[in-house]
Amino acid sequence: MKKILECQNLKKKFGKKQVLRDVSFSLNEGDILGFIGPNGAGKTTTIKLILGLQKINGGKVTINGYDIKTNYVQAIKKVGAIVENPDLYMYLTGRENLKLIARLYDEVDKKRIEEVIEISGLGKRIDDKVSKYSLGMRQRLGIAAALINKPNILILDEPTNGLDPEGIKQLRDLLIKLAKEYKMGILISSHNLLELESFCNKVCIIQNGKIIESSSIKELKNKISDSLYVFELDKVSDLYKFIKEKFEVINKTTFKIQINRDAVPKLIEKLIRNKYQIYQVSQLQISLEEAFLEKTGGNKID
Amino acid sequence: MINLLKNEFFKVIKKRGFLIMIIVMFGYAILTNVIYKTVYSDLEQISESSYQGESYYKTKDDSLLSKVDDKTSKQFNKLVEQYDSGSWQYNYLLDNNAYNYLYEINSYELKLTDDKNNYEEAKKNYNNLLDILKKDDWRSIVKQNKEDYEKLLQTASLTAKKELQITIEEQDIRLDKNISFETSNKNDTLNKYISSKKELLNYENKDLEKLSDNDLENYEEIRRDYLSSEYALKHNIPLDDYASSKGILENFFNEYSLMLIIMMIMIAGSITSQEFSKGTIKLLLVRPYSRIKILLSKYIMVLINILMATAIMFIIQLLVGSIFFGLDSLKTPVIVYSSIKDSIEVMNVFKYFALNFLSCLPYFIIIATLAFCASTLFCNTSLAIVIGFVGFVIGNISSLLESFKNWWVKYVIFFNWDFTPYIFNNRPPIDGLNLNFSIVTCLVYLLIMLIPTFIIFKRKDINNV
Repeated sequence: MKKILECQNLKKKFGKKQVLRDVSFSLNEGDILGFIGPNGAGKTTTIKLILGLQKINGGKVTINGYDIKTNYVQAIKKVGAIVENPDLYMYLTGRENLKLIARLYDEVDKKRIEEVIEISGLGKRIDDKVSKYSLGMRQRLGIAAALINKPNILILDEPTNGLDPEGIKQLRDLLIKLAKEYKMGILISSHNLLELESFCNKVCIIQNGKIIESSSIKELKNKISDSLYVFELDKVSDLYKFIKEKFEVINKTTFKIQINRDAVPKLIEKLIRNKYQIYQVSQLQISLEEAFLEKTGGNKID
Repeated sequence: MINLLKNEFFKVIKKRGFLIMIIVMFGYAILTNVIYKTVYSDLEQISESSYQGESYYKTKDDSLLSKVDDKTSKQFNKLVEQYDSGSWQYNYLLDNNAYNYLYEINSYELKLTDDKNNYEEAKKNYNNLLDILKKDDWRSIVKQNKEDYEKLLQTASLTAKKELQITIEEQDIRLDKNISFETSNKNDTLNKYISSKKELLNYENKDLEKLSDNDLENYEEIRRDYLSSEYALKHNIPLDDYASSKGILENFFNEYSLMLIIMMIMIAGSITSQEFSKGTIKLLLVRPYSRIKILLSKYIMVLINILMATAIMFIIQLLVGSIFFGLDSLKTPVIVYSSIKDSIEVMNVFKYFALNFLSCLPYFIIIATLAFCASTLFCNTSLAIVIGFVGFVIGNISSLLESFKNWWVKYVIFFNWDFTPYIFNNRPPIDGLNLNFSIVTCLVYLLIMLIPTFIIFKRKDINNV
């Protein structure tokens, strides 16, 4: 797997506030990397540093082998991006917007414009002014605009904003196709974690300007769900007398407990000794969102 | 780079503000043409002096006096009203003694005075005058005048002689060029010629070097009037024919520079800041171009817009002018006076327009650059436009500074950005200025504005909108 984007120890300060501390991660071709974090954690700032929109206070960004500090023009050539919102020229039509961007790349021709229009699925509305578009349509046009230079890295900041479920599904299919067929590396940040779960094969969790977790989706899930078990018994009364760990009663017959895998047989033994009847013990399959909240301890910002 | 520029051009001309501005320019051009048509083609302001004949008979009987005044006025008005305003008879009556003759006659008839000789003479003269007016024969008046003046010449003093000679010359020209008293461009030109030539007599014995600035300006003004009217008479060129396409083009930058400045400031003041406020700056910067090139393409667009705004206004004026006045007048050349050479130059109106544009160009560039830099530094469109206009307004009132004689005044940009004196060979507003000095000063001001702007833009963090 070829590394196409690498961030090393990125630091960023706004005044006295350290917004990013040593953020490091990398993106391989064909990867879809979910970039997750609560509001204010530094997701958009990281993306802006990668794209050269803000000055780096420390560390290094390498895109396709070019350092963006010393060779920005080469580095950015094969990058497509949407930052924050798909900000387009509202007083121009969708097609005019695409033409403006296409003109800035040597290799982009009329055929390519038609191709991305096709991808956007805007149809005849492409010749309407962007000011008449809905947020979802703008999002689609933004993605089309980001794809126009046939990038090998696609950076999308909150791309699902304003898309309806059908649009989200289309976007997911598109991204998966781009990653598979064109070996595109995709960095995607989102608040909508449930959706990321089905998009990504890798995940990066950022909190308070630090990367706190960086692994594949599978690993992350395993790591967290390792310790979450659901017990189904005949009754759950008086459990607190002999279970010292924290547990959560779900209903009259089930409870949830966070324990080590090795502790499960002992707990079962203990329950049997106390005359509880055990119908079922299961490892909890949790969503990425739950795993994430578990890991970061909710949406805290300090 | 050229593609960046193409994009900037496209974005500017697609803005709704651009279209609205062109419509406003159209309206303004129509207004200007209407004003020129009504103000300048209307007959020259009637000198009211002879209307309000003062009573020169002192008497205790005020009622009698006002009676004479009344009657005379009525008769005179009736007489004048017979003729179209602007006809030679009309102008001649207003300029001459008809009122006085009537007053004499009425004074006697109403017993205000009993000087019979005076009465008879006035009556004779009055009847003569009526005769001539009826015959529609202004040439005989001119001939008569000439004879009278020549008679006076023999007895006149030296200074009076010179003036009389000029007056006689006027009569000769009237006869020679067939210029009646009728309101016409030629008549105006002749009057200008005669009066400026007479005024020049005052300066004959003065040492021009010792004139004060104000006097020197006056003198130059008179020389300009004299030389240009002399040339115009000689070659039958209409002078000061403001109510024409040519006349408005001649004054193009006086009339329309406000519109041009508005358009320039509007574009320059929004070209960068609007990208920030709409968030499209991110779309623009994430491209394989350095920030310096991106900003440079915007600045070049601001400069192109100066040309574009002038060209658009020029075409609009030609269109509107052709509707109001036709375009024939564009063939008449413009007479330009140079105060340094004390001579006139005659040129095609389009060449004159182009030279005027060149003269204003440094001014336009500096104002537009000011708005552009403010727009880039503060990322705030309204602030940038206000700053542009503050520069424009201060530039307009800067002539107040001329009276300061301090050494630093010549470094003030307002005196350096107008190249009219250099292009038309006139005295600069402040001593010690010359073309090279002004070019350098303008460049220094430009660099002072542009260099920090580019450096700051290169380093700027693009924050959330």
